[in-house]
Amino acid sequence: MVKESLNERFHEVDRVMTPWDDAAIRGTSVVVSLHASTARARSVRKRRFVASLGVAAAVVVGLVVVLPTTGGDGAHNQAFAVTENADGTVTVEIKSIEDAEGLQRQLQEAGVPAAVYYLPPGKACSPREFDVESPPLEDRQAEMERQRLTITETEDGAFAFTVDRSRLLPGYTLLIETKYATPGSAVASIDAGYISGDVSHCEPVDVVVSG
Amino acid sequence: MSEMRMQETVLRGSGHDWAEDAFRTVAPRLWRALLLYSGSADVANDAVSEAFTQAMGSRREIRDPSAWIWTTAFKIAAGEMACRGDHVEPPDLPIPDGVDSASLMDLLSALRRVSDMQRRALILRHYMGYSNVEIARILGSTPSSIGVQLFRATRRLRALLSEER
Repeated sequence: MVKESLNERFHEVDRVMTPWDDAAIRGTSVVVSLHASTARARSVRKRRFVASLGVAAAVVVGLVVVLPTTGGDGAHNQAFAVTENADGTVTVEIKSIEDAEGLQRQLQEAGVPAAVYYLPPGKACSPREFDVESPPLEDRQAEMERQRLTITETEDGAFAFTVDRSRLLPGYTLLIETKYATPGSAVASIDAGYISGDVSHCEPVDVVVSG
Repeated sequence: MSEMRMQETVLRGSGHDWAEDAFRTVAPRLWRALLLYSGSADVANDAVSEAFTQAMGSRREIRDPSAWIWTTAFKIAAGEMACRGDHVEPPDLPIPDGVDSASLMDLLSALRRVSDMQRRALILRHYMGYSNVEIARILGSTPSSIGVQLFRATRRLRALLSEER
C-alpha cells in the first residue's frame, strides 16, 4: 500500500522546471505566440479594424519558446537568420530578441517589406491609426488566407516562419513586434503577421496592465 | 487566499485581458498539470500556449474562463497525444541537480495506465485541489459521477504505484 498522500506525490511535479522558471534563471524571456494584435484590434476604434486584421491573419501555432533578450555573440550567435529559399520563399528564424534593425534590413533586402520593433519590458508600440477603407468581409478573409503565416519552433529553439513573397499583397508589411503582458514580466509575446497601412514608426508607451 | 483561489480570481473575466493575466499567473501550474496528464514536456508546451492563443483570439465572451482553459488545454493535449500514438517517450525532465525524479517518473508511468477521464480527474483533484463540483464543471460531468470516478481512479492508481515499488 502506498502510504504517503497522493497529493504529496502529485506535487513532486513542482520540482520540474517550467519554461518560466528556466527563463528566470537564465535571464531570458519566455516568448509565447499570442494573438496580441487581435486583442489590440478590439480596443481601438473601428476604422483601425482592417489594419489589425492584417496582423490577425497570422496563423499562430501554439508555441512556447525561450529566447534570450541580450547576449548575442556576433557572428557565432546571430540573433536571427533570413534565408532566401530556392522556391522563392524566405525563411525567418528569430533566435534572440535583439538587433531589430538588422532583421528589418535583411528582410527588406530579401524583398519582404518589413517593420521590426523589439521593445524593452514594460513597453509597447502605441496603437496605430490607419485610414483605410473596409473591404467586404469575404475579401478580408481571402486576404487573410492568402497571407497565411505558420510559426514554428526549430530544433535549436528559434522562432521560425516562412514568407511566400509571391503571395504578398501590395500595401501590406510584415510586422514583427514584442508585447509584454506586464511591466517587467518575463512573459512576452512576439507577433509576426501582415498588416496594411503605415507601420514605419513605433511610439513606445508604457504597457497598461488591465485589471 | 489560497493559490487556487487566486487563480480562480484571475481567471474570472472575459476577453484577452484575463487571458494575458491568467497566462502569467496560471501557466506554470497548468504546464505542470499537463505534464502529469501527457507525460511529455513538449505536449505541455504546445497545449498551454495553444490554449491561451485560442483564448486571446476568441471573439466570443468566455463565460467560465477557468473551466474553458482546462477543457481546451486537455483537449489540445489529448489531440497531440493521439497524433503521437505510443511515441510519447518518458520525458527528459528539467529537474534541478540533486533532486530524485524516480518517484515522479513512477507516477507519470502509472497515470498513463488509467483512463483518460480518470487521469484528468486525478490531476484536478490531487494536483490542483479542486472539489468534485469544480471538477464536474470542468469535465462536463456531475459531482456524483466524478466522485465515483475518483474513487475508482484513486484505488487503481494506488495499486499501480504499489506495483512500481
